[in-house]
Amino acid sequence: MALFDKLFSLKRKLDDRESRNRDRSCQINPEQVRLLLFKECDWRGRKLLFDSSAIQKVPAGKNDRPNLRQTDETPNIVEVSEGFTYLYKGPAEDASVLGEMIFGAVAMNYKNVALKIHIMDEPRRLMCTKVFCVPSRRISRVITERHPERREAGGSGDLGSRSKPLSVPLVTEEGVSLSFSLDRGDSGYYGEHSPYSSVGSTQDYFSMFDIYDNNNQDDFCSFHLPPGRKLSTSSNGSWQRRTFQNMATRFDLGHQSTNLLGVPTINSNAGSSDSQMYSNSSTSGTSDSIASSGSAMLHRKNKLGLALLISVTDSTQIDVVRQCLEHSPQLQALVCRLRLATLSAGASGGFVSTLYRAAEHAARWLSDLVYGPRLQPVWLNLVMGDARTSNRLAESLLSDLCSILSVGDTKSTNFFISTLLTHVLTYHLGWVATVSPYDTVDHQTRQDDAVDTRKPYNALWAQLSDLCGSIGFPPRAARTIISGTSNTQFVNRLLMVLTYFVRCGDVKRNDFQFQECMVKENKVVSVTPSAPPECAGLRRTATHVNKLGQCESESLTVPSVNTQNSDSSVSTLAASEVSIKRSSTLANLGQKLSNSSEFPVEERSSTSDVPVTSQLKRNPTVMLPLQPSSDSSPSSSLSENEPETEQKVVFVLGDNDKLVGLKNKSVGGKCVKKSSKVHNEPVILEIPEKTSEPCKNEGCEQDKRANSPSKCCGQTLQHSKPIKHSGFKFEFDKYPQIVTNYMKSKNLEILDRHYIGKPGNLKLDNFQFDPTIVPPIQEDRCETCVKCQMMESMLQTPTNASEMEYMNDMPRQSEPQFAKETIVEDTTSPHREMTPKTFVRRRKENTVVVNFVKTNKTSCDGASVTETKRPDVRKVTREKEKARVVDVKQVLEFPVPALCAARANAQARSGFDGSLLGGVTDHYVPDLILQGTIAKPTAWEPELRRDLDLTTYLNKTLDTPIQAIAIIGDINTWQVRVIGRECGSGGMSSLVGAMLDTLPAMWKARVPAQQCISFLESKLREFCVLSKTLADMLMSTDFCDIATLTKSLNIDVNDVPLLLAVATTHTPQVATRYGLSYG
Amino acid sequence: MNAIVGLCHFCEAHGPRPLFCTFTTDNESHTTESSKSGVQCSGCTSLGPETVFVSRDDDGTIFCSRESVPNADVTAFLRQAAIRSITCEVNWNKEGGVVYFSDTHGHVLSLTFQVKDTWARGLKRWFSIVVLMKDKMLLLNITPLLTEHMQKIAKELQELADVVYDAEQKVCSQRALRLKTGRNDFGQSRSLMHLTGSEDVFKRLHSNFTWMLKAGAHTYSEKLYTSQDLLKKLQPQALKNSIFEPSTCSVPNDEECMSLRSLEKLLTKTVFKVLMYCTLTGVYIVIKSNKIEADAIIKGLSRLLPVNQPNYTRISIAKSDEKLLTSVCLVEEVENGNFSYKWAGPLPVKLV
Repeated sequence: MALFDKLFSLKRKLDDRESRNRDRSCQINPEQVRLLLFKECDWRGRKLLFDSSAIQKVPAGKNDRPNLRQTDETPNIVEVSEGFTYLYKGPAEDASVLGEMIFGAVAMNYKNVALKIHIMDEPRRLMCTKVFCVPSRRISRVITERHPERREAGGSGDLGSRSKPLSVPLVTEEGVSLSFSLDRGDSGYYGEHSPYSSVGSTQDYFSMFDIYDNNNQDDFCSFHLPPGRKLSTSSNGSWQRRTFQNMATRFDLGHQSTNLLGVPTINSNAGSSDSQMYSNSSTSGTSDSIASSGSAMLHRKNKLGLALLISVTDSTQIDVVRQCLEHSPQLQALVCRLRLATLSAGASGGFVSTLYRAAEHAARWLSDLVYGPRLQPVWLNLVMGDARTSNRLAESLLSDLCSILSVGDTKSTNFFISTLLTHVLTYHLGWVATVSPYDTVDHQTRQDDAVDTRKPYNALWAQLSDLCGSIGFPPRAARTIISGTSNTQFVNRLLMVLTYFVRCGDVKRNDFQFQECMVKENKVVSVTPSAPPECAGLRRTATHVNKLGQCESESLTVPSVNTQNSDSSVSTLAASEVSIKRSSTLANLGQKLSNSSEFPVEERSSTSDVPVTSQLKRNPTVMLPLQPSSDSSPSSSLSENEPETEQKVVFVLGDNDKLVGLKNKSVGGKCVKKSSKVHNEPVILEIPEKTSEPCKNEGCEQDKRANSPSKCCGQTLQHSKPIKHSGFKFEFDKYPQIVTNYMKSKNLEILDRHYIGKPGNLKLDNFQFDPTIVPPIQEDRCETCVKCQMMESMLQTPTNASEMEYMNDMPRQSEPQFAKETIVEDTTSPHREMTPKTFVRRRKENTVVVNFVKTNKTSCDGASVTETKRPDVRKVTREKEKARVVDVKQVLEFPVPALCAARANAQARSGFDGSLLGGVTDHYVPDLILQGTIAKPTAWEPELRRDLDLTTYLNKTLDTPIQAIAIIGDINTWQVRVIGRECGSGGMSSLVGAMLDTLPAMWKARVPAQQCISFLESKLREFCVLSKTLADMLMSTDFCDIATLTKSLNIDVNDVPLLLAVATTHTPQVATRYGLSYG
Repeated sequence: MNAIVGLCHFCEAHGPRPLFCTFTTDNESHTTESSKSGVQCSGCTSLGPETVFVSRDDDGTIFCSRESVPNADVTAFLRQAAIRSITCEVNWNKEGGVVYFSDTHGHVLSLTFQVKDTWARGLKRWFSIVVLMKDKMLLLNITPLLTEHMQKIAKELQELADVVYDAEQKVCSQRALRLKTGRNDFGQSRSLMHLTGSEDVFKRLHSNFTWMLKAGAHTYSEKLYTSQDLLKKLQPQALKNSIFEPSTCSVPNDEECMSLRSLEKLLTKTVFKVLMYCTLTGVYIVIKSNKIEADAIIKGLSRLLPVNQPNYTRISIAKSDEKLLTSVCLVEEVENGNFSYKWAGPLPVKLV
């Protein structure tokens, strides 16, 4: 009843609608919509070119002249055009912040800067921004030159190459006289005038239309199958379409694509379609050469940032924001239109006035969207209302239909209604799903009131495609505009009747409320992963070790120092200090080394460990300044320095190894293999000393424990740290071996490359790495120890810089283990026994200075063990890094939080049926699917064409190019035209005509409305059945000419387009088999 | 809803990084598939790569929370979104805000916010909640809902962190300490659990994110109507014997029944003519056959008849020892697939 009343009240008010419309549209204040244009230049920074809030439009006085001088005074006339003066009121406060927001804090490749939306509080605003590149002056001239041609070509929907650029710069019509910018001096609006830049920006326009170039008729249907069409070769269309939309937009979550069904996923950058002009044009540009040269140039060009701000003044208008977002496709189109306006403003002069007008247009769009006159969708009301309401509605529909038929469907009116309805049924294909026997909406699974929990899809999207009729193939987005300057009532009635045929589903918005629920897991499932192939991993390392070698050239030099030095801790010192203070370090080093060489026993070396450690611990500050220089110094200089120092050191010692190592290093690239040999060598030498070693290691450890200032520190150093500090700290207070290890780890590539060649080593590594060797070490973390914690937080060495990258990729779990093993393994002898095999050769060279060598060896031993080990540790970590795969061990299951309705009646009717079916207005409203206007078609047709192009453009990166078409019914001339590409305008379908003929006769014979409706519906259903027959026939015969077709099906030629369009909804192959240019 | 909701933060050591994410899937393996481990940093760690949170919905949807997604592309997208949301985008409010933006991988709605942290630079840390989707329109459509809930989550985290922060500041004012010592070495980023002092903060996030995913999917619901619905309501009896009866518009295909063409080939011209005539004029027909399926023939013939009568009895298979009336047309397989007919009636002159 309510609906009925509404409907009638609506009808009653038709006459005074005009005035009401104006009142209502005033509810959006033009100041609520603000347009900003910024220019960003790499050199000159950011500049505000236009801000609609800073401009005031006043009727022009006689003597108003634009102020061309550079002045700071405000207000100040910036432009006079078309009887209006534009006053500049001075900059807005928030402009700079908004500029930041538009371009972002970090310079981004603007290809990625698609439509961006900020939602702001205080004041509540919605800002849509778009960044694009500056057009050049050259292109602008091109546009204006072509401009007159465009008009001529405008009327015909031909596909000729001429028409494509022609219909674009529609906006130039708006641009008038002066070119000006807010910034007086150099507006900097134009890019550089290189020949390339002009090409680059021509592309702006071309790219919009390159779709047409790609759409050669033949390949058009073959591979642009819409998502969901590949599989759905028959029936069940609407449901499948929705399901496939859902599937097409899902992420590939697993390692492998799980897209077994072969559903084409939506191109990932599809959504940025509105802004991806550039990137698209480079890939699918018109001609390759232009595209490539253009896109290359684009990076150098300056950027324009366009922002549309929609402010919401009070809480009652909060819904405006929601509505804008619900209408995101339309919002995008709006932003695109503004962009076109910007281009034309720059191109044709009248900069300020053009942009100001664009801002006004945007404001009008918003008020049209929010407060514009709307139709009650008859179909939905009929089908949703209760029986009584529906019956009444049906009666009123029938009386309306008959009354317009009596006027509009006569010979003198060219059978206007029948022709119009033919086209509406052909293009707005939403009705098919409601009547088609081949498109069953699943009745069983649908519960009435409960929330539909089946595979969710975007209901709004589905509804929009139903309304636009983009459900056939190829998809077409249709809109219908009825224009009539005089007979508003007739237009309104006609629109009402059309809402019965333009059908869609009912969309509701549910308000849900989150309810805190228990965060207790239901159950815990432990997953036993398949055994990680550790050994295999080790073998595989070779490949990516190489990679590592390539990128970490620096690390090549540093670790090689380690290999040459006998003492691990000393080597660290050397590595770090060498490059900085050579003399002092050298002395120091020399001392140390000679010390260790004097005492032949291992104890020495081990004790030498400790002091260094403690030294490091106590004055970490010493290390801090030293490290960065060594790190930051380019590897070449390092290698230059080091040989020198090393030479000296070596000279003091007279150690053969070092000399060898030195040479290796200076050779540079070659060092890899040799140095690794060098470092292997010491291990060999141990062999004679083997017995002493375990005790050495033990002693070493004991020493450490005894000597270290606090026991726990030592422990933490040894065992626990890596876990804690792995992130970015590198602590020298740890056991020096860790330091060494780290250094060694940098050496990874050297050693690994070596290993590749020597399977023996690999074996050794495997063995060393055997986790079974790890003896149980109690992990006393000693959290209480203040000192430890202090050290932890304090010791953030500058090595972090390099460490960070290094650690970044480090797996968490593996690292601590290695640290443990490093220390522990020395005590276990087995791997020692492996060593002899590999290192026999070098033994001979070192025979000269046995004693020295020996001490070096033994001291080396500790290091070398870690060294040899460390690399493979590293290898493993690298390995894991590469795969970096950690198996899931535990799955905690939680209950799904329930969706609770926020209110008792939380379903609000929503959707495009209520917003895009517009009533009669005095102007053309873009983006409406159905509307009536009292303006003359000539006034708005250019705009309409622009919008059609935009629609096509906006959807072009989707899988399916959408043909945008518009049906224009002109009451004044009683003509129906179809505008858009690839659509001829066929005549009236005899099937539709017959259907409409019957109705008035039935109505006159007082057949109840229900039966008339039932007749209508069965006729529509008949069309579907007929279309199926047609499709079957077309598919089963190899060639079918139109005469055969019409004769055998007993249909008229004019019926074929309609039936074919319907057929493509259930049998899309028809379209691929037979061109669509039918009719 | 095909989306990934992620929590990102800014780590002093690693920059903007995703910490934790929830996604929907209907593939069980995505939950247990091994993933790449993240960095070894307490701040950048949430559940650890070995733990997974899972919620199962009745309709087979699995909401899964993990530290990272197994798929490399998605991981890259997530990381990119983290960088973009935390470091690139500028918000109106200095304390964060909502931005929608697109990336080459998809579309992102992000909310950046700050959480107090005693140990952090500037005593606060940047976090962001991002929603990644490939469906631009849906993401924009449900932006109000998502925004609202993201803000709610952010507020919750902030409140929890404030408590911890205040407690920590009571012990020792970091600001004073830093001014005094002149040191500003911030240790490793602390994990969110420490910041909020809540052990199950990630479990809570899981339930919140899950709710977002579920609510987002069901915010807009569509109900499709057909003309049957309408007609049933207007005129319940009118559907009978109309084109709207189910099965009215479907015709059995050639697999189930013999096509007329093959029937014509099977029979001689006279027999075929008689059979056709009898079928269309409603003469009772009895078919007797040995090799060929009589049933297929019957089905083929009945395709010519109105479908509304499923138990059409005029064409039938011959039963043994049945006395046939003379008016009945008997089509009988004689031998070798040849058929003959017995029927007394005359064919119209046209057909003879």
